[in-house]
Amino acid sequence: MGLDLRVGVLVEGDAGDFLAAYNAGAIVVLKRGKAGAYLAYGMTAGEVGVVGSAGDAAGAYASGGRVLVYGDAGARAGWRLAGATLVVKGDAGEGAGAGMTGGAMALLGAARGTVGEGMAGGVIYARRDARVDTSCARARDLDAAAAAALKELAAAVKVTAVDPKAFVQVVPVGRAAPAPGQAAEGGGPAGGARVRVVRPSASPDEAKAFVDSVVARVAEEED
Amino acid sequence: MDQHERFWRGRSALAEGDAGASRPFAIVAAATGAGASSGAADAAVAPAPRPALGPEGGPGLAVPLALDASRLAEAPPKLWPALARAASATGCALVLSPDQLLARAELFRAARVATFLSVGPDSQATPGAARAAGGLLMRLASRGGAPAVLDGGALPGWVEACRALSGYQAPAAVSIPPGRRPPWRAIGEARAAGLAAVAFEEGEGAAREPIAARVGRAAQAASAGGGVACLLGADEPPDGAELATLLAAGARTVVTPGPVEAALRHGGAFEGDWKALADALAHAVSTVWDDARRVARGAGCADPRDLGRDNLRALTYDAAALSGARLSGFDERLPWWVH
Repeated sequence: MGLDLRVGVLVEGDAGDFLAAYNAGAIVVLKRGKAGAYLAYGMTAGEVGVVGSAGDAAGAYASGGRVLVYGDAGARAGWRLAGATLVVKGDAGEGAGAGMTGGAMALLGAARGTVGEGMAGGVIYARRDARVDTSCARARDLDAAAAAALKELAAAVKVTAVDPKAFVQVVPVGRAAPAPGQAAEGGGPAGGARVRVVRPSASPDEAKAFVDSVVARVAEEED
Repeated sequence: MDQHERFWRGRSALAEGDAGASRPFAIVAAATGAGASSGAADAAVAPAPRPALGPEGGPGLAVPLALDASRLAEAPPKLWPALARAASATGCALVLSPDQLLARAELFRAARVATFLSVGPDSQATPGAARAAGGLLMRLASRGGAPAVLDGGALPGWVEACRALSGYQAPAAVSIPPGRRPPWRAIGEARAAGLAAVAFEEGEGAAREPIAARVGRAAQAASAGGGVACLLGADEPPDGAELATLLAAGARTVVTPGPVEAALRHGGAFEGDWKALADALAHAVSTVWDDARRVARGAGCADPRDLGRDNLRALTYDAAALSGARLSGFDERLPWWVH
């Protein structure tokens, strides 16, 4: 869809592939549904929240903004991530962070397969038992700054109890871990889902509050 | 004199008469009576602009050339008005990256230049740029080899996403880099999502595809691609005969970075006089187009865009095998097992 206006978009139901692709500033929330493959593909700014699971290659080529997946992510989450922030609250499929060149990714659940395959930049926070592609990346214990960054990323998906000792940071071989976290925002084809623009002209703070309110409302409904 | 030099000096390749011997293709009349309705008077009439992607739409071009400036990382500021003036004067298009288009959208709009937006792994599109473009050129892989999508099955969704980005205003063409097998099935499915054409790049270095291979690719687009419109690439500035050959192969538009690189290379001689630089570039492009028209008229066509594969004869066995064109003298296509 490629929204460059600062608006909030609420998508209800399952969305197709390329949801919020090329998003350039919108706030997109997928509520109670699954996102298809290539969520937030090529996003340059904005924020995308999926209260559900995402398909393959979530956050592919995203160079800015923030992608929050409250459920599981499919294979190759953060494929060639190029500067955006991606947080997966649930489990991630195989090949997370493959070809990543920048940005930050937090995998709070289990990560199947190899993490960081062919990565050349950025940082991945993964559980200690994650298998890392040692030919191009290495896993390091979290220092104080990295632990704080991880907690901040986890807090974005409403996870407040994170044990930094259970996580490692995966960085490219021979490079220092870049400062994590870029500002974020999110739009895209939505398959057969119902799309509703609910919040025009939102400021960043208002947008963040909007995302939080939708997530809280969904949580209440599920309870 | 290399091809850049020849192009920039505006020298007709046909007038010199030295390039024909090494060409792999010749343009011939399709039938004995071809050209019965064309004559000397037609030669003075400039062909009317046509859509860049043929019946599929796209901006109208008087000269079926798209000057690819999207590879320029940095360029002198004066180069941009020069490119806009030259493209506007000749009626060809410019291929630009999102950053280039966004930074100078007013300039290109004021100059009434047709623009294609280059979208790919190394140039992520933005809505503002996509809406300012007359067409989208979606590169399936970057120069470094990074694929835009994980598999061909995602192509229809990617096309949909890019077209949505432009507000469904701009037709899209997928550019296939050399050495990559075109996902014909996915291309067929993507046509329903608004894919108008498929483009084949020439490439450089070891990956460079000779002109015969690109002519063969165009034939594939007509058969395997279900008749999808085709754009062909040429890294070096094409001369008139080469342009006519690519059009005869089925290309609706020829995408080439060569003229832009030539302008960049020789632009310093104009000492900042961008109008003189633009005029020199326009003269060079006009010479190429005039040569192509001369070649076409020799085959009985008033406009090179009317040439077809019936006008194409391969002059070497290799060219015939790679392209599927009829072999000169033999006048038949080689059997399929040598293709």
